[in-house]
Amino acid sequence: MTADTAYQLTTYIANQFQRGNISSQRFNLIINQASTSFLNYLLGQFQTYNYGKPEARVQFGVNETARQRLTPLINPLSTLTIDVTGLAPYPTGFEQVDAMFTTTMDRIRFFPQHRLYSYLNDPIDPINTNPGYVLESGGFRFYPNTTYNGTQLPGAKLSYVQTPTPIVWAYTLDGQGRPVYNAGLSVGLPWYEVDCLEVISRALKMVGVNLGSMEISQYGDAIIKQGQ
Amino acid sequence: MQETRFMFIKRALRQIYNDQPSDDSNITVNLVNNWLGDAIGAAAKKNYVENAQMDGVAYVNNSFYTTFSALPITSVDQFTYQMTLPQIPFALGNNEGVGVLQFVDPNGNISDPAIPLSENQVGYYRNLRPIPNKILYFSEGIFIYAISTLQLNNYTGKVRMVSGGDNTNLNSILNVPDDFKPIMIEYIKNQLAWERAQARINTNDGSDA
Repeated sequence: MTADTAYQLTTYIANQFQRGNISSQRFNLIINQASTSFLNYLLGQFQTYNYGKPEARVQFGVNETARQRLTPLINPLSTLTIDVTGLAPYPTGFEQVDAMFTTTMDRIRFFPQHRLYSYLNDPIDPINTNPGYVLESGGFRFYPNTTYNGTQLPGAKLSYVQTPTPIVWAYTLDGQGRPVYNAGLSVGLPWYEVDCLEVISRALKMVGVNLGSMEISQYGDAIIKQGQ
Repeated sequence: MQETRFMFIKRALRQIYNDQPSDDSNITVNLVNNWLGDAIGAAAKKNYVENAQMDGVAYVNNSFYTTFSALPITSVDQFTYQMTLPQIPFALGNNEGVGVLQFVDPNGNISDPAIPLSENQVGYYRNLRPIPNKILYFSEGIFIYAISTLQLNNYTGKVRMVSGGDNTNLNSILNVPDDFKPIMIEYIKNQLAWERAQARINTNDGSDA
């Protein structure tokens, strides 16, 4: 969906209630936050975890449909370069790990820091042949590594969910100083067509709060909770 | 198609995870391979007991046996030589975990099978007249000891024992007949399904979890 279609739809729904107008700058602000919110929903929200079972109702990988919704944000495997301390910085736009492999496509497991000791000393799955990584602020820390035990992984391959490309409703000003849509400079929604209303409805909730309109908020809420 | 260890392990993992295991799965191939030894023991024991009940003679079917060759021999005592087995023999009867022991010279010539001793027989064999031209042996834990006045250092051992095969090679054939695999499957399923069903405490607050 183009940015202009999303903008037209958003302003149309808001204007139907005679509450006010949404400028293009405001649209660019809220639509990107809405896009991030939808990403958060697809990755799995903590608030919807089941009691005693930390799994959200909808979350990444829960089934093929949920995974497919995120595929616009999953690029082919990236190659990571690992330094002697095992550190590999996160790639640009990294949001969440999908899968991690060695260069020969064997698996690399995720190790939580508080279980790292056990993984490093496991005689059943020795670390040199069963590598893993922990997540740190600076990137992935792989084990084994040269500093830890002298064994270095030649690299890693990563599949990850990336940050959605920012949506931009670009414009040029006409002779009267009014913004005119510029398709060449604009960036559309990075989601599949069926999901675009999910993003717009999240934007409308923010519009509803801004305009103090219960109707708009409820409209957005209904789509989010009950579906399109 | 012959079933390898890896194929059997994958079969178990599919059941446990009700799917292909994910890349973060904790019940790993190596872990199941470790459980496999116990499961093979349970199947062999079942076969041994069933045979005793049905035939009145306790034995383990030929299908459970594996031959291991080229076991190095070292001298550990006067007239006593030691070999390390690939695994501790199953505790079947007195010493039926190991069926046959032979010796192979560098030219490939194979000796007659040595004569097995039970643990009690080890205690009094020296008071008996030696059996001419025969080598005696007994197993003890992971080791097998041969008693001979011949120099055995230049030979290697060849042993036939109850075993599921080579547990260091996942592509080796799993030496268990199909009619006893259900016993292994039940055993492994019970252990690993229990492991998977345990409630996990994921907190990192210093509690014993």
